[in-house]
Amino acid sequence: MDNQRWRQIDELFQAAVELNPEQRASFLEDACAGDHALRSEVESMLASDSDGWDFVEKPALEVAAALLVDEQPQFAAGDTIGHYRIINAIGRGGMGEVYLAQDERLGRKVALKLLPADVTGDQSRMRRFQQEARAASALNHPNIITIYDINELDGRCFIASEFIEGETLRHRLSHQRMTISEALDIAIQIASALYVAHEAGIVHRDIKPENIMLRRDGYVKVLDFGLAKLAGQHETTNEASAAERPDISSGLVMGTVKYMSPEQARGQQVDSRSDIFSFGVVLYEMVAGRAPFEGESASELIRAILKKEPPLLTNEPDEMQRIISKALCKKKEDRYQTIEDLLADLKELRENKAVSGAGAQVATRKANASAISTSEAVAVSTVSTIEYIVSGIKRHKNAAAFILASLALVGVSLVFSMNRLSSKPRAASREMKITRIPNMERAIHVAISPTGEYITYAEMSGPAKQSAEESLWVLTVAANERVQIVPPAKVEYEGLTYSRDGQDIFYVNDGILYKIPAGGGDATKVLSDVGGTISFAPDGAQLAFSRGLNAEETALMVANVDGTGERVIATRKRPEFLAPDGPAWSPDGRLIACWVGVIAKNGSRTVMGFDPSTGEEKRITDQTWDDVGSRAIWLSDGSGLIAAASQGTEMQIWEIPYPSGEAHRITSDLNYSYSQLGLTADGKNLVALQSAWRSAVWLLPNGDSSAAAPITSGEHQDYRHVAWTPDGRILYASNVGTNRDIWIMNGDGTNPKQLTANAGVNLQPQPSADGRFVLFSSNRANEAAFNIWRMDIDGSNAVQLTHGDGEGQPVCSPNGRWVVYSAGGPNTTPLQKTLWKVSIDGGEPVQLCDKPSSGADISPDGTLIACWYARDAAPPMKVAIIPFAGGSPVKIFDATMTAIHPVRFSPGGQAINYINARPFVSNIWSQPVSGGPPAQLTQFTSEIIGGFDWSRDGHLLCSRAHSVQDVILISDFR
Amino acid sequence: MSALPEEITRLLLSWSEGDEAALDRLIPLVYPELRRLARIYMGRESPAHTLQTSALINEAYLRLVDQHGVEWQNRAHFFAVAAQVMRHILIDHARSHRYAKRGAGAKRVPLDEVAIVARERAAELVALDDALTKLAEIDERKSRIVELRFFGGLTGEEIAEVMKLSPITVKREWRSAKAWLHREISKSAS
Repeated sequence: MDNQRWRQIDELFQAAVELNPEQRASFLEDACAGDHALRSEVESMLASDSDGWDFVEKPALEVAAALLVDEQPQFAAGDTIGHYRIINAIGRGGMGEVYLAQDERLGRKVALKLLPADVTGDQSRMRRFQQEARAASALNHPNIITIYDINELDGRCFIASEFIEGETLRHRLSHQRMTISEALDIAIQIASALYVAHEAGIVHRDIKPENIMLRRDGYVKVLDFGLAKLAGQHETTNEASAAERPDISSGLVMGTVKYMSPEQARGQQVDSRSDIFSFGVVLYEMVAGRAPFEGESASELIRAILKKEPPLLTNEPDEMQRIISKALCKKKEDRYQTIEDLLADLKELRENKAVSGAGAQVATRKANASAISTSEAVAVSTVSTIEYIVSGIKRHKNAAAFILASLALVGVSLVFSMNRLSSKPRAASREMKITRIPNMERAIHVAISPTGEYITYAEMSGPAKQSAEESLWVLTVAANERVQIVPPAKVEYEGLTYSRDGQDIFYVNDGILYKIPAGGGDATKVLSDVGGTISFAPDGAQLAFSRGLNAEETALMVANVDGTGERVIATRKRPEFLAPDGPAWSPDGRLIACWVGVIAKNGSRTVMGFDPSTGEEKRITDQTWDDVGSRAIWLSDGSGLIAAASQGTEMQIWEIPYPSGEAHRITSDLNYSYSQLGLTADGKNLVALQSAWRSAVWLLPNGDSSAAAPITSGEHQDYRHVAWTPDGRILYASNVGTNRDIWIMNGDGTNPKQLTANAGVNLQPQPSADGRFVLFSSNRANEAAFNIWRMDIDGSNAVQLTHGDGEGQPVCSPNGRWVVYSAGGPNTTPLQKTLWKVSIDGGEPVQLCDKPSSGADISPDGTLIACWYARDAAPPMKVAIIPFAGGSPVKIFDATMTAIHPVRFSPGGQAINYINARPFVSNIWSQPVSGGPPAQLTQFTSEIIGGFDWSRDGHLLCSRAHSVQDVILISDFR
Repeated sequence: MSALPEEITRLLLSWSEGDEAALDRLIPLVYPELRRLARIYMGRESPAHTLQTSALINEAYLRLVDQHGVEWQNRAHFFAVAAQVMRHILIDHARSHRYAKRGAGAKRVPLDEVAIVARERAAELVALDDALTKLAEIDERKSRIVELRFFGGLTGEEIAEVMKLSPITVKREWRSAKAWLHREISKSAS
């Protein structure tokens, strides 16, 4: 449709739509004058209008809310809650978020559970819960989690408890069928915990696999005593209304409903016998591998709990069947009356089994046990290269800083002295070379060729475009030469990978697997309905991939490389799925590792192994991750896998040794995130996409940018508004966490100390002439208004000096008596600000200039003010000089404003320096006071400048920042 | 880390002066911050609360643009940019979840049952985005209005201000755009 025609339709539509429906026909009859096509277009628009379609009426954000959530935890690593410092998020459930945190006071790791506000609102209920939880914890039983602290901080109630390294019983059940011995062992420990609790008069009320932790050393820990009561989910006193009964319409309580006793489901009062029923459900599930009661909906489930008998267990000892049946009696009077009796029966069953020594299960268990110990031995004796490098990094923070600093350079060799890592075996000197391939801001898919000579990557042609197009590139590593092999088009290059022989590049676009010659050429279709990443068999003749079979089921598939001979290796039903992030075919060809995910509240990913010929499953690791940033890749000797994945934080690179499964992070710098891993055929070269925002403070001795060197190492990510103090320290503003505060550090970048905290936004620090005070701009008095403040150099005794609005950019006069600053209204531009001065002790401010002026500095002799100035309220603003006493400029220069940073006199006062900002490159320029054209002072070719200042002895300080997403190539990785 | 406000301010200025390329550079600067904020907002708000798109963008604006620095004109432009960024973010997410259509777990599977329902709506969002791109080809102005309202959360009055139109024109254009989009989406669905 051409635009002319559309205008016509639009015009008629807009006119007709204002009319009554009955008037429209005659209007259109006249207006269209026999143009039937036009009329039918307008009529179809009118029909569409009257449909009452409201999809666009709600904000898009609302529609996409759940998509965006990503279960992002509320606190990030490094945040503090009281004296707890968050390390990472562990999980999230109906009863709040759980974090791993460091108790800074006692120096131990704790699990910190933050309870949701709606639960903790009821004070009396809260108190009862606290009593009960404390009472349970006080039982001091090895199978009951130890609670350290229940308290309230910043309005949030939290429970700090012992941190348990292990997995929940839910997780174990969803990944692995249990032997009867294992089930008995776990059940006896749970029952022991319940026994001591019941003896003390405490009912758990929410026994379910999610509340049972299995520690790696075999200990079982029961969590959350009393919590269910707090949530009001299970208990209803006789007089309580139905409103307190579980909200069965919400899917969220489904998991809980499954383990309810009949009396709980009816909303009746519960006692210890209710725990016995719930325990019976858990026991049944451990033994049978499925839940005893099932239902499509919560109400169906409740009906099953109330009425149905669970399916009889087959292949299990009769005694086990008897115990479970007795625990699951509908009437509490018919059940085990005490957990003690149940415990005794379980123990007896275990002993009988042990005595008889018969049964495959026992044998299996033994085999498992020996397998575990063997693999542990393996894990101890062979330490991977990455592991020792990383442990070396951990031990030698300076080395880590060195690595980070040198990452900025291309092709830096790092040699680790092995003497310092002497406790590790294989202590030979090793050289790891990290090559940074810069300017990859738009790369989204990356792969390395089997030989490591080439890297192929897909690049978005511009994120501003609505339908982002991608182009495909090949980079020759040695020459750093880039060739575009497919121009930008509406194609995605998911799962980009080289064939084993390096001749072809494979990728998936819209579910179809294509290949294209590695040197460029036509793409040919290989296979339809491919989930994402593919992996080739060692001989290169077959490939593995995942596929969605239907809405419920995903499959791990294998096919020949020509697309023929598809077959299913394994399937997973919702809520589990075989992730499209991809399979990884082991070097010996005998195992395909694949990411397996669970769609659930605490959904997680783990890596499972599948035998490509039989589909038989093999456990690879017990570790889970909450998100995955790359395919898993086998190390070339089959000793493990690497992958980029996250556990509540940025994506990091992990190594998952095989068969021990003891996964560990091999990168742990939270300033970076990693994705798109690739490995060369020899397993020596690792490629990854690495992204970060970085800034640092640079020192330019005598203002010489060729001698510029960073004095900060990247522990802080954010430095701006840097200023020297008279005694050679550095003031700066920094965004740390979610607030901007003022910091001070030594002149060499060491010993950073925070001067402001929990008091609004604080920025633009400047020392007083004698160095006693810091002047700064802050909205601490009134969130909507920025004022000039003064505090002592140690951050104490803050005093408000001005009381207007939009006041900032303070600078102290050399005699120490005045503060010059710019002021305007709220949200004013430099064009709407003017210069003022106020006594360093406060008082009535005096306007210095009534024309647009801001960003002032005072000459060393105290007689002149340099600033940004405009004759009238129109850009551009230019560098100008006005007398210190105020009034009209004595000089206006050509230098024009490109960044809202104050100007600064050069050390001798002969020039005025300012930031000249170009796209992604800022430099400092110099305007001679005597006149003439400005000259570029610094010769930076990258980074933007967020502040600069001259020291008294003539050294220039700059804070510089840049966004980075680079491809890094780690050579001699192993 | 967020971008330096000075850089963002400078790019906003360039863009408002007609430098289209500035937008390409601006979006990657604003994107991470908006996405981060979006996540915080989602986490904070219970489903019962209405999500305040404009509050979110306003917060991004306050954080990204130096408080001392930008006149209203730029602020309006910021909202316009933010609407485009929001569109990009949301559609990006919706597209990454389209895998659901093929029946398997999405590339980034949301970890919540609620999200599964939302994923079904993701397809609608993607369809709308496609239709909006088509609309821009024949009527740029209408597509901008939809973008500002639907993705940027701006009211009719605010859109009028940003686009220098009368509020009544915005209202008429909105109605026409809506009719066109609905028809377009129904057409491609059938």
